[in-house]
Amino acid sequence: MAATTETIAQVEQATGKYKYGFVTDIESDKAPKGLNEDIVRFISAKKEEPEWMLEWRLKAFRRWLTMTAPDWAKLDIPPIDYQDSYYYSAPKQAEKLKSLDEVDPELLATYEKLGIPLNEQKMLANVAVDAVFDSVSVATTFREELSKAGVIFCPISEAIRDYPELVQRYMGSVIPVGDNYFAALNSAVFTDGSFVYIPKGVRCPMELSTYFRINEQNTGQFERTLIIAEDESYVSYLEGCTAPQRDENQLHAAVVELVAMTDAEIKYSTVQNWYPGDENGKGGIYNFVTKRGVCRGDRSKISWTQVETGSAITWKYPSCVLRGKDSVGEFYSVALTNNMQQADTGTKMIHIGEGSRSTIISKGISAGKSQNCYRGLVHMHPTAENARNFTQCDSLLVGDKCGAHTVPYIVSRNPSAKIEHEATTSRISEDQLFYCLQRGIGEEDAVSLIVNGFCKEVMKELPMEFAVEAQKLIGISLEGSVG
Amino acid sequence: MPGSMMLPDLSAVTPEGGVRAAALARWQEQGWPGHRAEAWRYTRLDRLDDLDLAPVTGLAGTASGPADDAARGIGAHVLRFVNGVFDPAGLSDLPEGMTIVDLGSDEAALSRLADLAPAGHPVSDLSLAVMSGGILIDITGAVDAPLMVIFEGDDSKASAHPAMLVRLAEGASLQLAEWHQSSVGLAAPLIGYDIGAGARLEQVKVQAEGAEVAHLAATGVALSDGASVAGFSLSTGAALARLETHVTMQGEGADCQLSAIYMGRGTQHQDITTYMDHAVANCTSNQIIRGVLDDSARGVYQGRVHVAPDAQKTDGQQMSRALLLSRKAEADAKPELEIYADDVVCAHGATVGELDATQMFYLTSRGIPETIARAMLIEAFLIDTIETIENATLAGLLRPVAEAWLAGSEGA
Repeated sequence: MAATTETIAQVEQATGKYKYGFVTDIESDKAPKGLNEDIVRFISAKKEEPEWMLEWRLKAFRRWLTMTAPDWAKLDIPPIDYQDSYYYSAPKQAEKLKSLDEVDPELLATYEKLGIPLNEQKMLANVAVDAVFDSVSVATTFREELSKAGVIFCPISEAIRDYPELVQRYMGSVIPVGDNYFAALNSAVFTDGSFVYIPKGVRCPMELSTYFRINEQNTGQFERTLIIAEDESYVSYLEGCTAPQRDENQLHAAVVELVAMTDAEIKYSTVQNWYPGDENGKGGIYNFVTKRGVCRGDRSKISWTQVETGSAITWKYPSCVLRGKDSVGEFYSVALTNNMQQADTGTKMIHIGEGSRSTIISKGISAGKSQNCYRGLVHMHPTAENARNFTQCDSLLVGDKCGAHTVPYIVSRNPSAKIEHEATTSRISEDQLFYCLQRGIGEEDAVSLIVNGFCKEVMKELPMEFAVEAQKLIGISLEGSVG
Repeated sequence: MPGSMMLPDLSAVTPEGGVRAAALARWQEQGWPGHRAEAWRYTRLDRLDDLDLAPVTGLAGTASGPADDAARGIGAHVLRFVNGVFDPAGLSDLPEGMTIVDLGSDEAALSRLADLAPAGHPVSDLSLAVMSGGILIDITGAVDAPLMVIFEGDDSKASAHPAMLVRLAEGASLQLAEWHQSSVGLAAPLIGYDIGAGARLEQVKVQAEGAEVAHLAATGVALSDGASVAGFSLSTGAALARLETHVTMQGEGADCQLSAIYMGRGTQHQDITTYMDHAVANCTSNQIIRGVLDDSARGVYQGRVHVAPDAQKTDGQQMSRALLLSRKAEADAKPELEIYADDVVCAHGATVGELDATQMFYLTSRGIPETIARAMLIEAFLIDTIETIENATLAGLLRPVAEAWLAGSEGA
C-alpha cells in the first residue's frame, strides 16, 4: 500500500493540484464585461464580419434572451452569471519560453506520463521550437497538401470572409440558432473554431486537427465548428488533446455541425481533458456542448468517438440525424469522472431514412465522489423503414461514493425498425483485480488495465495516435481513486 | 398548469384535517402535471380535456363484468368498489386472518398510505384528498382464499377515487387480484401494500376498463426485512391508462418481482411506469415488461431502478420488449438506472420491433396460414411472461383476458 500512497502523492503533485488556477488579468483589446447587443456587435466588428453574420448573431442573441437553461440533466449546476464574464478578448501571443527548463515541472511530468513526444511537449508548453522541427513550417506543409487536394481547412472567421456562400448555406442548418440555450448563446458570441470543406470525391489526405491549425491554437470559450463533406468524400477530424488544458474561462459552450452528403463519411474524434477542478470540486470547466451531424445523402456516415475525462461539469450529446437512405450513425464514448466531477453525456440517433443504422457504445466510469450519467435518445420516425439500432451502455463504479446512471429514451414509430438496448452497471471485478495483484501488478496499474479493457470497444475506434495517449490518460485520471 | 385540463369538481370535498387536508392542499398547489413534466413526457393528459367530472359520494348503481365469474372460478372472497365507493357487503364472512376497517378514520394508516403513494403522481394526492371510499385491510396470518377486489361502476360523469391500504403483518401471506372493469370517466385508484417482515404478497392486476375510461392508478409498495412481492399487471382496457407503481425496499433481503403486459389497439394509450427504490442492501428486483400495439395505439414503459448509496449487494434487473403490429403504432421506452452503490449487479434491456420474419417464415412454410401464425407468435411473446407467475391460480385469471384480446385482434 505504501507504494500506492506514494503514487497518489506523485500524481496529485503532477495533476491534482492546479498551480495556475484561472488567469484573471486579461490584456487590452477585449470587450467590456457583460453580454448585450453591443457586445455582439463588438465581436462581429472585431472579426470584420459581413452584415448578414451580424444579423444572424443578433437573431441568436434575441432568441437566447427568451430562453432558459436546460434543467433536465442529472447535473447540479451552480447559477451562472452571464453578465460577469468577458465575451471577447483578442487571442494574444504569449511570450515564448526559451527551453523546456523554463516550463513548470509538474506539467512536464504529466506530459511524460502521457508519453507525449519531446517536440510536441515544447509546442504544448509554448516553447520556441527549433528550425528542424518548426511547427509553423509543418503546418504550412500540411496546408499545401490540403489545398492540393482541394480541402478547405481554416478558422471559421476566415471562412465567413472567404467562403460566405458555403457558411451561409450550412451554418445553423444542423443546429438552428434557437436549438437550445447554450447553442443560442454560442451562435451569438462565438469567436473561433474550424471550418472544413471536403469537395466531391476527395479523401482527405490526413487527419485534420486543430492542433495543426497553428495560427489559432488556443481553443476558445465559444468554439464553432462546421464540417461539410461533399458526395463520396471522407474526412477524419481530431479535436482536443490528451494533455491537461487550462483556460481562464470557466464556461465553455461549443457548437459543432457536421454535414455528410451522399456516400460521404465524417469521423469526428474528441479527447477532452479540460481542468476538472480540485478534489473538493472547486473550480473546473463547465463544458456545455452541442454537437450534431446530419447524414443528408444516401449511404452517408457520421461517426462520433469521444473520450471525456476532464471538466467539472459535462453536458454533451453528439447526435446524428440519419436522413439519407441506408445512412449510418455511430457513437462511441468513454466518459470518466473522478473526485467531484459531473457528467451527463450521451447521444441522439434520429432515424428518418429508410434502412438507416446506428450503433451506440457508451462506457461510463465513475470514481471518487463523481456522478456520471448516460442519456441517449433513439427515435425511429415512421419513414425509417427497416432501420436498426443497437445500444450498449456499460457503467463501472470505482469506489462506493460515486454514482452511475443510465437514462435511455426510446421512441419507435415504425414497426419494421428494430431497436435493441442493453445496459449494465457493476464494479471492478474482484477476481480480475486479484488476478492482476497476484501477478505483482500494482493496484493502480491493475485498475487502469481493467478499466482500459472495459473501454476497449471504444478505444479501438480512436485514431492510432490518439489511442495510445488516451489509454494512459484513463490511467492517470483514475489515479488516487483506489486504495 | 394548463387551464384547459380536466379538474374534478371538489366543491363537496371537505377533508377534516390532517393527512387528507394536506393532500388536498398539495393537489390544489400542483394539479395535473404540465407539459414540461419529465415524468409525463410520453403521457399527456390533454385528451382528458373534455371530461367534466365529480367524485361520487354515495353508493349508486352497479355493473357487471367478467370479474365475478373469475372470482367464483378461483373461490375468491370479493370486495367491491362501485364508482369509487366501497360496498360494505364485502365485509361479511371475511376469511380468517383478514380484517377490514374504514381507512378514513385511521389517521396513522392514512399517513402511511401517503408515505407509500408515488410522490409526484397527481392521483396520490387527489385520491387521498377526495377518497370516495377507503378501506384498510389487515392480514395477520396466512390467508388461504384469494382476495378479489373489483373496481366497477357505470357513471361516466364520475371520477372514482377508491383508496386501499393492505398491511401484511410479519410472516403473513396473501393472494390478491385487483380487477378494474368500470366505465366511469376517470378511475384513479390509490393503493398501498405494506409488507411486513418475511411476509409474502402475490398480486395480479387486471386493467380491463371500458373503452372511454381514463385509468390513472397510483400504487405504492413497501417491503420489510425478507418480505417478498410477486406482482403482475395486465393492462388491456381504457382509452388512456397509466399504471404507476413505486416500490421501496425498506428491509434487507427483500425481493420484488414486478412484471406487466400492456396491449393496445385503436387509439389506446397504455403506460406502465415503475420506480424500484433499493433503499437498503441485499435486495433483489426483477421486472419483465411486454407490450403489443396495434392500429394507432401507443405504449409507454418507464422504469427506474434506484440504488441508494448503502444498498450494496443489490441485484436489479429489468427487461422490456414491445411489439409493433401496425404502421401507425408507437412504442416509447425509458428504462433508467440510477445507482449510487458500487457492489451491485444491475442491468436493463429494451427492444422494440415487429414479429420476427424468420419465425413467421418457419410457421407459414409449414402450411400454417399467416393470420394464425401471427396470432401464435404474439401469444408466445406474451404467454411466457404470464408463465413466470408462480401462483397458478392468479396466473389463470390473466390468461383468458389476454386471449380474449388476441381473439379480438384476429377478428379485426
